Amino acid sequence: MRPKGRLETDSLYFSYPYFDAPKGDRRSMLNQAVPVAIVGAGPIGMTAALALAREGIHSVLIDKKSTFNDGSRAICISRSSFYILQNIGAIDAFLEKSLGWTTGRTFYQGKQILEFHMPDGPDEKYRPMYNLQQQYIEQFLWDAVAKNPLIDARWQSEVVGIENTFSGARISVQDVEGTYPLAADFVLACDGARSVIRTLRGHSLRGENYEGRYVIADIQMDHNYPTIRRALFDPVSRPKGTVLIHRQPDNIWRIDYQLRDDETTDDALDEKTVRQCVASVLKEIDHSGSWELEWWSVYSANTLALDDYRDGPVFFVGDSAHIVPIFGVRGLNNGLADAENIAWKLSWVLKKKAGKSLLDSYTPERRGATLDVFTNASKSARFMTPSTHGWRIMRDAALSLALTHPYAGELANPRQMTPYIYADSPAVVPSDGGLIGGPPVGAVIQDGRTGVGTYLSDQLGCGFTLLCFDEDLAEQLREAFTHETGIDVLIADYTSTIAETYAAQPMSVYLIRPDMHIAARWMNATTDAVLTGFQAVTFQEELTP
Amino acid sequence: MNASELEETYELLAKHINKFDEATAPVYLAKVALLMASEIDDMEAIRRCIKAAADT
Repeated sequence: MRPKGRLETDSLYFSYPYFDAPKGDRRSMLNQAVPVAIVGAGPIGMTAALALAREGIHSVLIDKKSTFNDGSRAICISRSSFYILQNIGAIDAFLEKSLGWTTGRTFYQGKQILEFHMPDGPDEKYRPMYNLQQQYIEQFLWDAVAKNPLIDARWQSEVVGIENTFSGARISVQDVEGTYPLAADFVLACDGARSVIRTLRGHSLRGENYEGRYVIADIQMDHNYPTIRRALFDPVSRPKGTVLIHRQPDNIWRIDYQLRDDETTDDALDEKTVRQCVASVLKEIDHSGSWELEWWSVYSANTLALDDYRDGPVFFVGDSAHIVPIFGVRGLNNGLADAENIAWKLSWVLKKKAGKSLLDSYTPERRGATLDVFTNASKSARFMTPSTHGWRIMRDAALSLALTHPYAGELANPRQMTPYIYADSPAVVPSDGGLIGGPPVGAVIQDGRTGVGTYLSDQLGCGFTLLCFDEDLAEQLREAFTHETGIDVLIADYTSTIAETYAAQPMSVYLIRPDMHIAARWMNATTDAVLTGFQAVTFQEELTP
Repeated sequence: MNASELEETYELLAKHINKFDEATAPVYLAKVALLMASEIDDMEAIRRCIKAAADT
């Protein structure tokens, strides 16, 4: 919502673009079949389109809106998501605009009880977390999408029907000039929490709803506080409640405050009420200068997911597949990982470099990640908004004790997101390959410096990468993989820091997937073992010669 | 006690408190305190804990 007199996209600092529905000559091409139709041109849909384009796959991106999502919504982007943005070629604008942060502070009744620091160091390429308004996220992704000839974006176009066909799916798209069919081998439902595709396919999210409701408000003000997440428990401004404060670019500040049981959602969303509540929070943090309300909304915590993220040729990606609480900043980041995961798998199957069973690994990997997120997010949600007297008594006891016993403050740590390990996935070789230490199979790689200003992640190929530590073995692997496409061989010195990080011996090899997760590893690799491993994780036995 | 043991203690207590209504939960917690005191078997530590909990 926006203040009275301002339109939905009338922002204090951001100019929303306007996108027309397809017009003119474009219309004669609208019903041409496409490998992948992506429904929803938000951050998840655009990321999926860019990840497909990275592999040379054409997609059509469909969205019923005429501009980006209104308001800021998601604002925290994790380090692992920055690698995804790097992989799809959109990172520069994000680095330039966003605010990196490493630290959070928690206060109880006005006194600090915890300061946590997320893992960071001089050898890390990216900070653990960045704050950036969602409209900038969408703008920067759109800038990359708009100049990519493999992506056909269609705004003001709504999917009104979907049916399976022999070779995939056919969707019905409606715009101002009529309805047309569009055939696709695969459909990605990136259409958010209220997914139309999910409804059309008759699926429902299942899980838990938490009782706590929050107003999230963005305000603009000159406020001299670093980019540090602040959590206020039982503050003077919201007795017995909680408040979260995040800095964003352009002097925009996100203030989330919990509603009391006796506050109705309608009353809480009233502009006058929002202004009073925000003013009260600002007084508490000693901001006495002017400020202006930018946007606000209401939010309640849920842990909801589909049982299966795949329905034939349709894959559910991001919020259409799962809804997670905001605490721990996992919604957008989890969705971006979904998008990258399904995109490389679809690309490899469409290009016949992998068997179709590779697609069956999407649900176990990404639903597994969601359930892992639920475990951590539920702990955070129970602390932020205790749903029963047991959780409330323990939460209040921990907070109170933390005033004099710092260890109790650790219970208020929001447990930020870490990438999920696909240990049991069908798209990894479930063995440690004799290696002790180093990132395990299924984990995302540990990046590290390989030289001045260069990192391991910069040297990975667009497809699979074999990271090895011996020149002769590398040469043998290149020969063994002569007939395979989409796999590069990368050599690191086995006396280097990278080798130490990977607990590597001279003959060790790591097989790294396009999404930077480790597919297999061997302490003493042979070319046969590596070739067999690669063929297994890409299900090549299903490919006809 | 490490962080994960502290967290496990926190969760176990919360889940058990939930089995009692709000009126009887204090009695449950008092029993937990007495049982823990017996296990600790260190009167100085027990006095310290009782006072610290009251002081915060």
